Amino acid sequence: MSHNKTTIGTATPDTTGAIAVALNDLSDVNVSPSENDYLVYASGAWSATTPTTSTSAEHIWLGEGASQTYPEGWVGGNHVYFYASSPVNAISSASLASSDSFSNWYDEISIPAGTYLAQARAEGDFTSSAGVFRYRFTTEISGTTTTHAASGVSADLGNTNQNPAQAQALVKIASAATLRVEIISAGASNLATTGMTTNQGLYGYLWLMKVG
Amino acid sequence: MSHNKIKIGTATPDSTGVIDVALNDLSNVDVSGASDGSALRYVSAEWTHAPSVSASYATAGYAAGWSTYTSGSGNSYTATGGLNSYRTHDATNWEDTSESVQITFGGLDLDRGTEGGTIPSATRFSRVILDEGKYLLIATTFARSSTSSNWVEWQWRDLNTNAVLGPRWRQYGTAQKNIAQGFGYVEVSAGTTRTCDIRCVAINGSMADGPHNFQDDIISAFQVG
Repeated sequence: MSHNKTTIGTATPDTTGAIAVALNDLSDVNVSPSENDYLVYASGAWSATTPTTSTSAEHIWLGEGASQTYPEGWVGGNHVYFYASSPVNAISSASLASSDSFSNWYDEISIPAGTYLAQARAEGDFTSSAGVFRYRFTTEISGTTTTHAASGVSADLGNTNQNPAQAQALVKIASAATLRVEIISAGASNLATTGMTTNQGLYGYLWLMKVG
Repeated sequence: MSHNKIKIGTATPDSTGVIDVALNDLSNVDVSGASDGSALRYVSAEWTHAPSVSASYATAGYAAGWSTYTSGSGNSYTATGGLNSYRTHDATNWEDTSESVQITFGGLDLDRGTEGGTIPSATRFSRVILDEGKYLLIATTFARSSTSSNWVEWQWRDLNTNAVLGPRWRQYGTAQKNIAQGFGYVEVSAGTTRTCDIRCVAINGSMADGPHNFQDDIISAFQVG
């Protein structure tokens, strides 16, 4: 057999024996691409796919500014609750939970693998104007907890030297996780465990946006 | 030349001379391990498979305005009345739409409220006007005071219905700490618009709208759905 009977897909040798093979001549490729298309693998073959652009970012919002009394004492190591009578959950496969079953107060968010921009503000109750604690995001996967920078600060509203700051984090998780906001024990002082107020209901919020 | 000596990657001719070449047979391609959704990606002089090609996000709209004025005592905010919306401060004429004082995209708009019952002639943003969608409302506010124990509390509200759109935030009169950040969230139904402002909901002592430094503050909306 002569080499000029060799074909690769639809490509045949020229008079010099060279074969100009195009992508579509391959047995597992089927493309009629447009500008900026990707080659994507699906069901055993490669084909051209146009990247899509969405104007929606998956997100969760808790923060109604509601005058609701915080449901438990503020203790270092505990998780912060956020109030929402109508929580916004626009993240696929995500869910909200209250570990102590407080109505409309949420301290746990189950999220799928991905990358998230997270922001939250906690506003605690204190026994004196010197009261203060820091808080930060954590994720738990199969019993292992990871903390995420940066922490926020909550101080007594009478403490003009400690304006409220928020916790912010870029959270990247390889598998489904439970996201929480933890009250950091170190440095926490004068936290109120009785007589809780509406501070967290009025000032607290949590924003989570899936960015990858 | 015999056809059966031709080999491309692992592919060899069949009895009719046809070579069944797959993508992985090419010299500069390694897509072993590809699964559904994988994409071909060029990395380090080789085509390989990337985890996936998912939809990329591009916001449908945003609006942001900020202060560019650098000094002035300003007018006091009050918890009620005509001076109760936060406002940026710029000395330029209202018609100034340059990106030195604002950026807008996607049909969102910034507007001014009244200042003591008078519509300011200078660029002083106090409202965002939103059409259908879901929005994160973001602000950094500045309020001037000479007393550290003075404070003001802000909250995103619907201008027309007074609906609460997010938590309160407090800022004090302390010189370095009279800047604070606040967030809100609002959904706007199809065929409607909502005008949102940052309302003074509580105040202790005198806090005024006079600026302090260049670009201390921002009032903005960012569409997420």
